[in-house]
Amino acid sequence: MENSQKLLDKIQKENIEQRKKSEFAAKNIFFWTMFTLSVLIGGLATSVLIFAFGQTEFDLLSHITHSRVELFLGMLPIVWIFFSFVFLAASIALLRKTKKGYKYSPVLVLMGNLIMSLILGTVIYFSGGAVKIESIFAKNVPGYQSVEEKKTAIWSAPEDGFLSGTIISVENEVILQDWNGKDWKIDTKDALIRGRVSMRIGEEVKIIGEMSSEGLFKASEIRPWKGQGNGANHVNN
Amino acid sequence: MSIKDCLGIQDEELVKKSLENIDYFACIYERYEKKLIRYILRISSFSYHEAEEVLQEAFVRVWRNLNEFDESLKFSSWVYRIVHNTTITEWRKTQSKGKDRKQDIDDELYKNLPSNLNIEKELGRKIDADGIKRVLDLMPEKYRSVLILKFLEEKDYNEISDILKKPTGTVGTLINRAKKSFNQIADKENITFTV
Repeated sequence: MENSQKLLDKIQKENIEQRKKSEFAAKNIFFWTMFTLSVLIGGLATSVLIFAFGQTEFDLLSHITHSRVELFLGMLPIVWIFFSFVFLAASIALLRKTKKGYKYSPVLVLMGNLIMSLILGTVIYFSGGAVKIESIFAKNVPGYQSVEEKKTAIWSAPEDGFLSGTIISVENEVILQDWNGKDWKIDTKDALIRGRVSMRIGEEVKIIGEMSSEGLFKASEIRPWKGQGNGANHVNN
Repeated sequence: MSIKDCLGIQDEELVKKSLENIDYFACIYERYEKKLIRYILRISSFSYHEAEEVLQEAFVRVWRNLNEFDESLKFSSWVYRIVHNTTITEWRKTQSKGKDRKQDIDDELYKNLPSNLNIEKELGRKIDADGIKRVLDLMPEKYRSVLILKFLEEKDYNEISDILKKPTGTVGTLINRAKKSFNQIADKENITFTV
């Protein structure tokens, strides 16, 4: 018997049916949908990453002499770096699963996905989405340390030279109440005061300096709580 | 229906006809049978009989997935892809059962190579069928496949890309690495080539 006839007999005898066109179309649509979702979620993660990096003051590393690596790792938004990486990898893998996905060069796919994530992330960030996502995470994910909490932790280490809180007195001497409710006398003599800081009661500030003794902090630089307060700085002397 | 009845009908047309009448599928099989058995023998060390079985298995898959065939591809690339994947899968199964890769060299599969292919120029050395087979046997599967597709099956980069589902740039890189690997293995194993 001819092999071709043997094949037809096998197909007919075993009643081997063809998979439907719609099955293949559905599979392709599924992978494209998952790819699009991965890019979108990757974009969301990137937007929070942009937000987190925007809030992180890496220049603090130059102000401490010990535990630099620890501080650096503490500053990094590990969760969002992880999410961005995972969804970037997922989108690349999913694109390759689509019908013609194998045609694209891996480097181009990687670059394309990175650019898409960055553009989407930037758009979401500027539309306020990043802050919302971050706060949703902070409220609903146990153990998640929000950008704000991370910032508070970094700036609540007077023994390392970082203090923050609200100014509660400016008469005769500056008194700052930190986030734990403890009062600190701040020596602002010779301190560089960032442009956007106004030394008045109720102002929330971050201070770089040195803990002289318990309850006394010698400031070398005062920044507003939000941002770095770049602008016309002046020295308080 | 035999191959004679399908003379002059393009592959793509035969696929459409097969979807309506299974007899046309026999034409597709017969049209590709010889060259695909030869391909299976080249990328594996199956016996001729085993290669026929593998081809039957592959064509059952072709039949099941006939609706997936996309006309923007060459049908031959698509069918080679399925046969390639089936062969590799089946070959790995036999290897895991301890079957040796080595087998007697079938000169018929390789004897015309030195004269009618530019593999010598490409590889920069003189070769014979025995030498080619011995070196190919020792090569990693990914390199062996691209060399066979390029030099023995005479497929272009686009076709190889569609068969192996890899970007054309990657195919180029693989071929270059495969050529280097071919020469290194030949040197290491002290395989000399004569024509």
